[in-house]
Amino acid sequence: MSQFKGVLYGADLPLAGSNRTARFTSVSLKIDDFDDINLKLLTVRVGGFDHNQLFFHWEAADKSHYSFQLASVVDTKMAIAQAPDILTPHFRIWHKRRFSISSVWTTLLTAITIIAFACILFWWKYDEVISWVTSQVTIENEQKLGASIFEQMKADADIVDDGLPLETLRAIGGRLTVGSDYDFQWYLVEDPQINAYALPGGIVIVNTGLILAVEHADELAAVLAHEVQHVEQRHSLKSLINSLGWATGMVILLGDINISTAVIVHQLGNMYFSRDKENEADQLGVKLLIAADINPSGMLQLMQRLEGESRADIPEWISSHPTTSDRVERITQQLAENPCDSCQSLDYDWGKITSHKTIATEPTKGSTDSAIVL
Amino acid sequence: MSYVSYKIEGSDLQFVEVTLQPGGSIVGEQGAMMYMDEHVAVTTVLGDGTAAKFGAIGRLFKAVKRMFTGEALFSGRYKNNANSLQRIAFATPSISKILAIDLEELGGSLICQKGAYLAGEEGTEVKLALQKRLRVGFFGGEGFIMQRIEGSGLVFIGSSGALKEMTLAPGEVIKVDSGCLVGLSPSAAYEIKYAGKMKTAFFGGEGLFYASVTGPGKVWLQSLPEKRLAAQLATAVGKRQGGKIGKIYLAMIIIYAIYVIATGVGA
Repeated sequence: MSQFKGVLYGADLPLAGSNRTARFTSVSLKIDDFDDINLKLLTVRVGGFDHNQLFFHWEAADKSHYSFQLASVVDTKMAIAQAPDILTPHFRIWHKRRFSISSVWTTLLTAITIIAFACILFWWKYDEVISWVTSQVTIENEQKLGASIFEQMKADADIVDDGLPLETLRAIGGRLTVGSDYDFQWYLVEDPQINAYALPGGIVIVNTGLILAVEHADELAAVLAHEVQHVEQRHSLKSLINSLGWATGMVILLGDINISTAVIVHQLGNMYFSRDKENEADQLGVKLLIAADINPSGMLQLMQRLEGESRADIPEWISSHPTTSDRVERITQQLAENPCDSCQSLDYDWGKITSHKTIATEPTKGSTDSAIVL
Repeated sequence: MSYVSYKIEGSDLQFVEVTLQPGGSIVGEQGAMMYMDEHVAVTTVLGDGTAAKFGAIGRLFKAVKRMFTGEALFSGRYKNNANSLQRIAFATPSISKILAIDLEELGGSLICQKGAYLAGEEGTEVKLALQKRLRVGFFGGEGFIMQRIEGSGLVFIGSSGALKEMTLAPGEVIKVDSGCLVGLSPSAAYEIKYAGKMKTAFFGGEGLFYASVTGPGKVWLQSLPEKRLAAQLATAVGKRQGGKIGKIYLAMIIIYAIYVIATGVGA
């Protein structure tokens, strides 16, 4: 039988051991320049920092202990292969340890790889993930949510109950939402701010300030189309779910963080999402107008006219809305790419609407707090 | 043969004064140098300045790996350019004893706790030793990463608190509390054993597991692991709570959002 190399450790030997060669006979381990050790005395140990070294261990007649460490993987394999059967049960610990280490690390690396891929996929398909989660919420629940928010808003708002402006608003809104899954409700609120907003479930609220700022019905139609798309695309819900996603991600990734970091990072996440959704509503709003055969340039006219008097420039990255000039640019481009020949301007006498008694009393233009938000 | 001789000074807070022969050099941890003679020339080297395969990228990779073992990316190489003996001293950054180990005595390699390396003769190298058994990594108190110091020559390593050196005969076992291990010969087996009794685990103050080191080989133990010292000091200073509030804020957002989505009642 061929010999294998190893290191012999013992009390009377150097600390770093002494290099020897050894071989098995049928009854003993024969180490060069050393005793023959009866196989019955041998035990097998796994040692070394990497748990990859095989040791034969025994107690000599004088009660002192010795270890013989196999020098390399090749020597270890050779020793295991050549060991007489009596030692076979002893090698079980070695095989078990090797197997457990390799299986644990394989499992771990596989798990890490899968998680990493899942994260990348999640990042890549973030919009789809949000849409999917949103699709799990029923329209009834969304309407309940919108209604409960509206209940609270009603308490502080002066709602216009009737009159020509409200009828016009309903007529234009109705034309834009033919065949929608949502049951749209249109409200006019006494408020000088040039704004309109949509609640989840189909409640659209328009400020009287907007009606007064608008010079043509096409402009109102464009704003309504934008708000309708906020509802149809369920942007409120998506934003809520995005907010949930960001908060969860931050808890997992950042662990303990202080309150200001949490608020800032969270808000930035929400704003980025919100700007994205404003652009989407602009884009789909134009499509909706074209589908309804309404002149789609109303938004452009309104924005360009109001841009000059809009609020001081807030940097885009800390705002929930893209800058007006950015929006104008995008819409202009979209209109240029999708000309609508069959579209016609709405035929309303706007002067009659803005001078109607239900809204005419409010001063708006030039007032310092006027701002377009939409 | 060796270009250096040394003298460890101080009782509990120590530094080591190394005397370099003409032409001799030593590599030391960044910021550990305490004083040196006039003609010791200092160069900053990436990692420990040893050569690597694949040139510069290989050296950088090696240095980054070395960084994970608690060392700086760069270290200083101190060379005696004069014709006379020159002295240089290194001090540890903590309450610690310094251990001088001749790698040849251990067969050319030594396993140390993370960050233990202080200085070493040219030709010694700090490598990353990854603990392959999860239980040892999690419960051993030394983590998954330790230092494997290889080569030939003297190395100086730092421990924390008082120091105990033991030589284990083949098969001899010593049970060690987690974190008390400073270094061991690579031939020794470092393992984790279950404490066995729940009572001991919960009330013994030693945790559910203890580490065991089995001979043959040398083992060095420290009396005051830095973690233990830090915990004592933290208790005395009073713990900081600041970081938790942000988590509560985020948790509230999550709970609110789930509530709204599930019930449809908002605001």
